[in-house]
Amino acid sequence: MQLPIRLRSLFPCALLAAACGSPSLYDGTFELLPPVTTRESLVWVDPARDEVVFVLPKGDSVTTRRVEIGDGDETVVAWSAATRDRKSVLALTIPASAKEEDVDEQLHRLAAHGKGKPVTYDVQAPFTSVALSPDHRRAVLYFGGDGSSEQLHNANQIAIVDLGGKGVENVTLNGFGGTLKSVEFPGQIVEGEEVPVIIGGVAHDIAAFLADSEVVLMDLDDPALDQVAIPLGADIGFAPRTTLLRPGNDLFPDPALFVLSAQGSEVGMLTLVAEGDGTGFTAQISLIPVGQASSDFIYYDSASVPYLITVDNQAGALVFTDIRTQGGFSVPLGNAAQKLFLRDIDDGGVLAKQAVAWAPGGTQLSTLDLGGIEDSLGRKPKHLKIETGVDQLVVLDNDRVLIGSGNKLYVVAFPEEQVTPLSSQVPYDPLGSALVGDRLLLGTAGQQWVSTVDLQTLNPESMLLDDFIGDFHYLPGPDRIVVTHDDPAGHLTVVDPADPSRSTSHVHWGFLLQGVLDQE
Amino acid sequence: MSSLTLALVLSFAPAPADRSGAAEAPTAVEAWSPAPAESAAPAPAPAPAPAAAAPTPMPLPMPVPAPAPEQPPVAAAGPPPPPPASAPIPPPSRKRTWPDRPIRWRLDIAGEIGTSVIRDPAWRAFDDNRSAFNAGGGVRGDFRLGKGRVFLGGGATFRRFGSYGGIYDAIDMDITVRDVLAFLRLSIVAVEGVDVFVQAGGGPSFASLSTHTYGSYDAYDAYYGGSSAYQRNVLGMGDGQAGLALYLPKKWLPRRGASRATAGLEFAAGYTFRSKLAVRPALNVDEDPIPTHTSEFGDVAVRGFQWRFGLFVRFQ
Repeated sequence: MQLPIRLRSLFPCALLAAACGSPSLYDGTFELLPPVTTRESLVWVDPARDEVVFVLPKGDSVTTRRVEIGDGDETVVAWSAATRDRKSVLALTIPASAKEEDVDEQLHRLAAHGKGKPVTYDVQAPFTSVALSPDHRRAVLYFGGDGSSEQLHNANQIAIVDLGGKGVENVTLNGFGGTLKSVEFPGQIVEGEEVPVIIGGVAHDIAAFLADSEVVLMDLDDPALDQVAIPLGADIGFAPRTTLLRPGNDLFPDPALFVLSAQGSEVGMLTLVAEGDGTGFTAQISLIPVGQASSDFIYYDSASVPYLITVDNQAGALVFTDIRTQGGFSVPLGNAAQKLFLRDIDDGGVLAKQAVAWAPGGTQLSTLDLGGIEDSLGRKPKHLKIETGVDQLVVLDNDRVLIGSGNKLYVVAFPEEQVTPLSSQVPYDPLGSALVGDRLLLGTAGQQWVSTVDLQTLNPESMLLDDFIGDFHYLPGPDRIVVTHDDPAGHLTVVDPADPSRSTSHVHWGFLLQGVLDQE
Repeated sequence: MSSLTLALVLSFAPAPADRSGAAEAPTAVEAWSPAPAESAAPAPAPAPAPAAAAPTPMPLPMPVPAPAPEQPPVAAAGPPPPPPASAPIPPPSRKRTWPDRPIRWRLDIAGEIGTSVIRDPAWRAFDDNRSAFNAGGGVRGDFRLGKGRVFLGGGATFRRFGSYGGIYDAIDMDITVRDVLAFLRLSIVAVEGVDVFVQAGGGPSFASLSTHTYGSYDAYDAYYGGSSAYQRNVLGMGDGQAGLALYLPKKWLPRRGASRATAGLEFAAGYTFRSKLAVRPALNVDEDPIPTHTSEFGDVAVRGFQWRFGLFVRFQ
């Protein structure tokens, strides 16, 4: 049988095609974003394939779920983050290249277990940063300090995302030309609870947008309301660094927003009052002198005086300022101090407050009881010595802090004024720690040990892993420590925090490539 | 249909090997031996006996095709002079002949190379392309069915192929497959020196694969992370091929019809089926490890069209 010439010429082509065929499914890169911790899972994002990979430890096994987001080859995932309640994961998809003109930026919200359909928000810009409200209701997307790779972008453009629904508000701040640096929610002082700021009897959910030398306030419950822009004086070098909101009470009825400057000796005080027509609010500006400098602040109400307490890091003192009169006094600490927090103490059967001041690199923690401070001139602080200096400090709970210092960890118990050093062969990172009940869990990148410390007995125990730690996570859902190891295929060790031992732990490998050969 | 008809005609025709051997080979004589006078037939016409007692010449081996009886007797010219007493008797000249050996069975020792074309997309995790080079060798034998052109037999082949690739840039993967194939083979001698054959068989396929991932360097230039894993499986394998074997016919060989060995080459193409390989390598761990579990990457079907080229030596 004589084949037609055209048919015969097809044979070599068919053989060649059979041998070579289409491009491989397995070309390309595999550079995942760092894992995000939720209540139930570790979540990796694969930007190149627009996939969110959920890894859920359960018992002796791990379950892997993959969820596709975005629009195939036309988009990439720019970043991901867990919500503050750790029940969801956010991921922003942007066009894969500037040539993709018909692709919009979208924020995707996925449940922590990876089930269900993602909620998608159209956010109009490739934002680089996200601020999450402590009441867990909103996310504000904005361009952070690193700007954007966009040819032209509006630095004061934001998107307010309703994490409980599907709404998104795309807004531009009405400022005085300053570039937005950060977003804060100063009124929300209780995690997970709605704490509105009452101004003139009206509740507002206030967000503060900190720009170069100004602050813009916005009611997130009603973005249509006029924004309040407060210039704080570029001429005096006032650069907002952080804010603190004091709700109104009997001592000072109007809410006050304090603004700490990156430099200078003054704190901005914005007294929030209702607009005359009752439609919104405005701010009365004043600058409070707080000594030579101020590196941290907090408000404290004594029995009769509303104080603003600031840390004068140059003088090494706490400065108490009556916010009504702007008069005050200072308490020298006798050692370096930059940071400040308050804790509750039992003062002779009465609940009182105690200020704790410390400084990175300092060798002492200073505590000052605040009960009756207005009537106790010359009150001296107490000191807790940290022999090798403070590198990092983590507040574990009201009574205890954990301090990292070189190859030592210090557990400081304030009620007993006890400092317990824990020595190790390698430095521990106190930020890689978790507190579960009275058990402190420790794991530091680059070393092979997971350690636990019973804070009742201060008895440490350590467990040797088979591989070096990449990241240390605690998942409250399954109540498991999950330690990741550096391996592109996915490699982790699951540890029971109640009984950390090699026999009760499990290593899982290859989960990031699970099912990869079954794709069509 | 025409090719099928041709195959049937060829398969029931008498074997050409025998005919050609008979036509060209001399009459079968197993080996040289001096022929006794009474058995040497036909004897040349007796020479006239000399009147006097003359020495009797040594009987000479006679060529197998008998010379014509009209040929004058050697001694027609007179009795040869008696050899000098001191001269040795020269050995008789001889011409070797071989018997024709009809081909009843054949035994091949073969080596082969070829390529498998694997269509499963998952194979691309192990190779840059779909084809995998393989090599092997084996032994096979067959025997003639009746007096026709058809030989039926079987054999065993060992073949191996390996490949390496990777999944994204995350993990290196390599695989080695070793087949032990037992097969039945049906050959049709189209003409002596050209066989058309089909074969089908199966057997175990031993697959071993390994993976390797890379870690990174920390701030102190210490390397950590990365891992390697290994897996071995036995797969079921079935194989069907058809092809053409070309070999030296007897008439081209020095001993012609009596030749016991020949050599040739063959081309074949077909399909090899293997059961799916579930890729779940076990992580290499140190002694006394924490209980370790690995994930399944999925299945790869190492099966597909294949062609091969082989050389063989045949004993028959």
